[in-house]
Amino acid sequence: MPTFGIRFGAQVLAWIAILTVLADSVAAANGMTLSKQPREALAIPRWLYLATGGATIGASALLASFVTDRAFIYSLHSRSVSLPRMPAVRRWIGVLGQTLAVVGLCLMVFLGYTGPQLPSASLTVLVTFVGVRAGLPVVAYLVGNPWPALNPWRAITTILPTGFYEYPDSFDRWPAIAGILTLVWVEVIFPVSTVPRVLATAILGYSLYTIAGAVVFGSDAWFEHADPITVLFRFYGAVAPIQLRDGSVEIILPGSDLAQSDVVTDSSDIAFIIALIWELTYSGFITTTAGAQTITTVVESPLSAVMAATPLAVLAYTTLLVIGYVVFLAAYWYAGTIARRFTDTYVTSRSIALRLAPPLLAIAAGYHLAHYAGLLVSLSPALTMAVVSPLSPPANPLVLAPPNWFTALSIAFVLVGHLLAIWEAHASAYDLFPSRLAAIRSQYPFVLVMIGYTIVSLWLLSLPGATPPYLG
Amino acid sequence: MDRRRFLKTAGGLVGVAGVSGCLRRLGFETQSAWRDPPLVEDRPDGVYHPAIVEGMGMYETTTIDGIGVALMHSFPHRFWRVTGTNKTKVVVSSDDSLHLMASAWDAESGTVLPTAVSVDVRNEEGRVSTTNLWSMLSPNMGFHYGDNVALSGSGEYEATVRIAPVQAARTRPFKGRFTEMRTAQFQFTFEPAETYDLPIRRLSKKAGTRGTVDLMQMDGVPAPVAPPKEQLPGRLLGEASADDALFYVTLVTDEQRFSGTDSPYLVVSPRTPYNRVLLPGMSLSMAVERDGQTVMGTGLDGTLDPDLGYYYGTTVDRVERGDTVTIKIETPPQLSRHDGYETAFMDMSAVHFSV
Repeated sequence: MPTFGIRFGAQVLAWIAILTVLADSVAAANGMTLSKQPREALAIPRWLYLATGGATIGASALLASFVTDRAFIYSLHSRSVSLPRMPAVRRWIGVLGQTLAVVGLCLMVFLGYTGPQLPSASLTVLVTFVGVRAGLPVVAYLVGNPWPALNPWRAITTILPTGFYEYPDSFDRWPAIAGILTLVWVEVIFPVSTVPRVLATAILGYSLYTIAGAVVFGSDAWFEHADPITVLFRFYGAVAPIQLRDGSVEIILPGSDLAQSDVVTDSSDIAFIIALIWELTYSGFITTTAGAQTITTVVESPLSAVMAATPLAVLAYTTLLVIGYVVFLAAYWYAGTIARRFTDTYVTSRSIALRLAPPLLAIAAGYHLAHYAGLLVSLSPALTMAVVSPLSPPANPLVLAPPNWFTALSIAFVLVGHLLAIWEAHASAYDLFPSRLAAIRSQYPFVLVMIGYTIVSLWLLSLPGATPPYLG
Repeated sequence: MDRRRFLKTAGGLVGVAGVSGCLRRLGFETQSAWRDPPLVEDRPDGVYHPAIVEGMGMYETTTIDGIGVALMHSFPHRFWRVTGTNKTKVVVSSDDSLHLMASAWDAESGTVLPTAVSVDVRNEEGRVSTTNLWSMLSPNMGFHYGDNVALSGSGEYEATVRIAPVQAARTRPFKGRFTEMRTAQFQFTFEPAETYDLPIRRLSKKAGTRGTVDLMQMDGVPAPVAPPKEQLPGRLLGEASADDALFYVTLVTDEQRFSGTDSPYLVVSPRTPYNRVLLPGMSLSMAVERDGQTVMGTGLDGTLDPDLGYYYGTTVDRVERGDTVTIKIETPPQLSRHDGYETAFMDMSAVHFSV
């Protein structure tokens, strides 16, 4: 396949060029910290960055083209071990988990107002950001989705009258997308990660919103479609090796569910997955020097004559959030259209886009881990202390300072996510197209989009961290 | 649950699994979450608004042989130790429980005493810690004594604060005073929740700008400040600033209080900008120049006076109008600094005044 050879060569060249430019200031970063403080930058040997990047490209390109044995792909993806059903055990885990979660939620709101107003000693902040924002998604994509057994709001709605209106079909999962972007916006604009009182108010607000939604539209419909946190966990959970199928627990190869046709059923699902990738990119970007520079440039531009600095900065953050998301979404959509043209089949570009979207979850998972592993590990002692004795906060909370090599792992996380995504896209394409050539061709534009997303992620990791300016 | 017990339990739990030792071998290090609190980027070279100002809580004040003593507490926090012209950052270590502070003053005049202060903390199980407190400068407290101290969890403690004899020279009303070690006893209850109730001010927009916050008003504890310019005795030769420290120099010719003789007396009263906080712990010298010739040179004596607080002075026999007085700062204030004061008063060049 001479065309493949040329493409492969071009890709490798392009990557080496990009990585060489990046490598001058290569540094890994550990994501947003609680205090919105600059991340610590760490120098990584240039050869490591180049070698890992190059190896990933090589491996993914090889995967995308050389594994043409359908039977082999199919056997890998259908490999699974069923666990005993044990419905009673599962029910009790659910009851216990949800009871704990409801008690925890009440305690978080209460202590947010009355407890220590320092983030590293506040149960509210630690559980929200270290537990739910960083920890639970890691569990969801590395082990299995824990949220159905924890969701405190769903537990609360079981004792309320629900379902006064039918959830409109046309809404699909769009409310969840609006919800997740709003949550990210609130996280950036308001000092929720630094002032427990503000966070407690935000949690109260969210609780009211989501419980009201469940009461109006019915618990099942609401949490399946509109509650952003539940939808987020469902998608991250799709990457996991433990899956719940028809009431039985199965262990599969990590990510192999991403090639299934039932993960993404609608355009809004694609939009949600892109939102997951974008929110991580966005919060990564604004905590780097380049992000801070962008915002400062806007605020110090001639526009500052019209508006005060803080509202202008808020406007800049908001515009960046929305525009970036639209660009990410458009790139993916365009890839679907191009793929249709490449393959020259009767399969619509919409169904190509639908089938190749779930693999993006592997990229999102990799990026989430790159972003939050440092935060999760370093604040886990503080979280443990807060959870063990919620009512008497420690005099001096402890953290774990991760060594340099751990920080460097974030690049590996991004690349592993990328690899898995390429492999699963490959499997999806083989499932979708009868012709091997069409299956391979259909992936080109998506591979390009994925590489684009990954380049952005690696680029962000290479930037030194900064505090987002103009935010209290 | 108190922290030591927690550490023991957690350490035990984790130790069984071998995770703790394993993590340490892999390079993970347990630290205080407050090891390095937010620090302003691009700190100005001078007194500036820090990112955070921690509130202070009073345990107790007492008077012992005419000396007022106060024991106070705050969050354990970072500070900067000064030795000569070197500055060392002191981070919060993982077993620090609080920042323990003390102040000492003459009960009658309210003059804050620059001396050496140590504190012994005991509980019913015995001695918990012995600390020589650092002389410190902080934005909201000014000059005080303090250090981060590790206690063994919440509970009752007894603190013995020792005030060493004042080494500085004294003007008349203080002659013969503060010459002996004084010991004050305090009972206090350490409760982390009480520490968390202290206010924490984030100076979001002001952080990093020149200036500082107002000194805290403390009941019964005099502010450690130098008198305003107008209240200085004698004739003001001028004011000058060295690495943001304000120097006022006056020549006293009509009072015997300072020199004890009829000779003119030079008063050098340095203070922080904005709040007039006293700057003890410097070593100063002076020289008088006339027509390009140095006619006299001498060291300045750190001196305690009920009206001036801590100042630096000397008798100057041979000084005439038209002379130039040069004050040389041999060592900057040997005071530990909280955020906001650590870049100021370090690299201080000489200041000049004309008589």
